Amino acid sequence: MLILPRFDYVRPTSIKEAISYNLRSKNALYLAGGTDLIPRMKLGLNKPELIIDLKGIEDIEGIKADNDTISIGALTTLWELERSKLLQEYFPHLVNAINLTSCETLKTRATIGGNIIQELRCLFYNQSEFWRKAKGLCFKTGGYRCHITGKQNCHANYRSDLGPVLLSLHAKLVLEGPAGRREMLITDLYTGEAAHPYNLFEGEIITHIVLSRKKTKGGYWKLRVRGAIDYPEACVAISVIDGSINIAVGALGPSPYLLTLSTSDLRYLDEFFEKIQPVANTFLEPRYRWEMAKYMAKKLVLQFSKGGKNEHDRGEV
Amino acid sequence: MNMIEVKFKVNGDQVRMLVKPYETLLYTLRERLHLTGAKEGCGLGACGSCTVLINGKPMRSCLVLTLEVEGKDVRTIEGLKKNGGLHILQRKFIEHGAVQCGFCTSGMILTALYLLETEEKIDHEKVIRAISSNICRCTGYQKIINAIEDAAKEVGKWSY
Repeated sequence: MLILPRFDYVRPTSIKEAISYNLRSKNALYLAGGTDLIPRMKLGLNKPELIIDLKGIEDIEGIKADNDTISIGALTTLWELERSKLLQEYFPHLVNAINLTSCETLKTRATIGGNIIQELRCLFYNQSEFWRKAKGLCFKTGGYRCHITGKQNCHANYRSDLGPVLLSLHAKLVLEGPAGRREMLITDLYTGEAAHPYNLFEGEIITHIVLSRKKTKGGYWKLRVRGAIDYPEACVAISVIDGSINIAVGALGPSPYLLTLSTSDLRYLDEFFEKIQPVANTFLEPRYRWEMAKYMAKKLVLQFSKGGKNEHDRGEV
Repeated sequence: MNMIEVKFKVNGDQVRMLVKPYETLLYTLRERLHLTGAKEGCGLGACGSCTVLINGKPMRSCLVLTLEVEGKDVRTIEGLKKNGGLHILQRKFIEHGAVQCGFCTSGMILTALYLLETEEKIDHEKVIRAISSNICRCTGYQKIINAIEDAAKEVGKWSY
């Protein structure tokens, strides 16, 4: 039986209260859906002394729309988003990506905020404490070097399905933290460094994800091993915004990669892919994942540069 | 660690008890309330054998802290029986021999129950999609699918 480490639990009712709990504790973690955090705690990867459950806070849940924007509360579950008529109308490829994420009974709990800033994953990281110690700790868990490259840095992988889609949509994030409220583009969230993948301050909470209210054409393709409950081995999201094509490639590095094409000249795409160098941190071979991502990107670019019908096959490879 | 009081409903009965903050709902159900229908398979949310319905939605009880269900309504496989008779899904699982080792069964039935209760029309695709949340390591999926489809036919929700 997998047992959780010992921690205290609080359920604040406002963001201010949640942040003040975080400031008072030396080792606190925020809990949203828990589908990423609870398995990690069970594997001994995180041992917090305090869990701050954000689900008691009401105003960071649900979808709100005005004339210009659609604002998604960070604690909205993927289950709810998948069934939203508004999102289906405006961002069908985002709904398609949610459809391909995980499975129904995990989506009833998983939240969009948690999905975006999920912990990076690696074959040598997401393992039990016993397994990791037998192998010798990797760089990410406090060891001397990375088991994949042998170097003294981390090569974990960002395997969110929704991160790349929101990146291609140029989503805006609203954050609240000890220093107050701020907004940032999702392009600024990612650092590209596996050791510190997100530009977030200590104790900061994503409260809303804001998208401009324009019907956007786009697509999402995902390479996976299993038909259900699987992280992407490689994924490509495309959004056509104001005539230019935004391509976001995920699961091939510590952050998703973004390219904006004004014309659909595929030579730029080749150049762009030269910069992406995946390592052997998932089940499939890195070269294969890279080739497949390139194939998926080309297919999608061709589809949407020709006027782009917004029809969706399941988007699985 | 201090024990914290929690109140919630299990199969219609109000429960009030002290639990540890780091206790999962699965542990509370099995070890304190002796409702052993929900099983711990992987403990990491991959297999679905611990599925219960929380406020009507299927969720993995191994990933839910008991304190998170404060004020909520939990349904387990033990609550399916009505007036001493088995639920239609339970009957169909028996009729079709959809139970092999039985470890995934309660999760499968609760996932199927959600499908049966919420969908207007059910087809083969929807059944497959619903139970893709759950793993049967005996790989007896075909009989499970047959049982669920048969149950859907009997309650008149099957789309011919």
